[in-house]
Amino acid sequence: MDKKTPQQLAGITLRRLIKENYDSQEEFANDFGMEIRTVSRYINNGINKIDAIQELADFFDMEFADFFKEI
Amino acid sequence: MKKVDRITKFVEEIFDSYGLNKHGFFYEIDDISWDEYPIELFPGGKVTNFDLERISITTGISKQDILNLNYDAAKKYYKKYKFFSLYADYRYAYSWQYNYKSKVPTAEERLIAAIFEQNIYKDAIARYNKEEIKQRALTQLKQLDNDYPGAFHEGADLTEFQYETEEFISYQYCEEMVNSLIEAVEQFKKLFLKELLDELNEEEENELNFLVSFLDVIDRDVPSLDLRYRNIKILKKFYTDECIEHIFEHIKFRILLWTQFWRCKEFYNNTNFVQWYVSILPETKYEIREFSQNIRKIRCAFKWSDQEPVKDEIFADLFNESLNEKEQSSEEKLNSSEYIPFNFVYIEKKPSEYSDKTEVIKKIKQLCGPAKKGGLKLSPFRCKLRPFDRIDRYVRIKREVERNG
Repeated sequence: MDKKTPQQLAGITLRRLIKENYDSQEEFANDFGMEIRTVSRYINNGINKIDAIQELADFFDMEFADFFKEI
Repeated sequence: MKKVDRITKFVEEIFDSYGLNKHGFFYEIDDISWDEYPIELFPGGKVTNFDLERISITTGISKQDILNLNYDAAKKYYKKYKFFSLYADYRYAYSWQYNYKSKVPTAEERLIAAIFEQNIYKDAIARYNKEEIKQRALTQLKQLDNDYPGAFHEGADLTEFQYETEEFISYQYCEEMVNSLIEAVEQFKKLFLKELLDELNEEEENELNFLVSFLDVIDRDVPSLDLRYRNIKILKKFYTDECIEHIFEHIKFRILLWTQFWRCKEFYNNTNFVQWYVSILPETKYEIREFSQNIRKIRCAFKWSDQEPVKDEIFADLFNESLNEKEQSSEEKLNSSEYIPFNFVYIEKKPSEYSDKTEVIKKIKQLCGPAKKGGLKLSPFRCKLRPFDRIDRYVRIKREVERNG
């Protein structure tokens, strides 16, 4: 299996967090205040912005490093 | 003073005391320069029925009361809603603390300063040392690089470095003021529903019109459509056909955004209060979250000295088009579209930079999170609407207005 980049791992973590906390990606997008197309881009292509990961970690009350752990 | 001037002064006082938008009444905006320029309330100095009608619709004061300069009638909403007497005070506290970053002087302090000609308008003291913040950003980036390789550029410097952060403002009557605003929103809802299900009398019609002007009420899918009595009447069938249970989810009270009460520390004294606010205008949860982030952290913007430029063809196309330039070859286009984007990183504030509001800060952080983790709840209704549903609503509303307007 290919090794995932940190960006991809962050996207995978975001998908998991949305599943755990929301009924749909739209609901999360609305709650977080993010465009739905940005949410799906992050999930599918990974998150390439440090401040976006910091904001998401803050929102879900996690550490920055937790976004890159494979579960 | 001529009658027309007295009426103009009277109307301007009404606009000022209720903070109503004067655009189209006292000023216009130049299409090219976007500068405001004054206009006559009554063009040619003539008080016409047409002008009185539109002033009456906006202010909720009857034409006769405007003509008679009836101050009692003009003050009726001021007396009914405590908001107006408190809001001016709040604005003062807001702009003082925002500009001078210090405690608002009491009336007594202001009086003493005036008598002894003391300057109380001291410039804000810089609370942060830019070079120190830059060093902290570098340390943070180096640390983040462990999990996110590329976050730190070894041997490179941060250029065009900027930073921003937020502070609370304090207004002791915040709760009272917002309560009065809630009362006004609830009154609008009551009148709106009454009009849909029954009929409003003239006094109620005036109050509804006034509340629309003051609360800046629009239909979410047709932002150009204010919800004054005339438009509600036109759309009565359309709105009654919609599910009444969700009717207010289609309506936006823009005052809740531009008053920015979430900057006030006292706003968070009562969580139910904040929940009400977010239920009425879900967008405020994002605003509160952003604010909460910026009171706990410092947001830094920078470019690395060794950063590679990126290409942005769409931006370049739009830019060239706006300059009306001749068409370029694709190679030229690529070169002109290269730019170095800003990077952003948050650094945590030190405990000493938090001042004394750590409990409030903790509370807001939790309120901004997902509802399952104790955060504010948003109605899922709007996000279930697909873009198509919204366009469909837009078209149906426009059609209804054309047919009956």
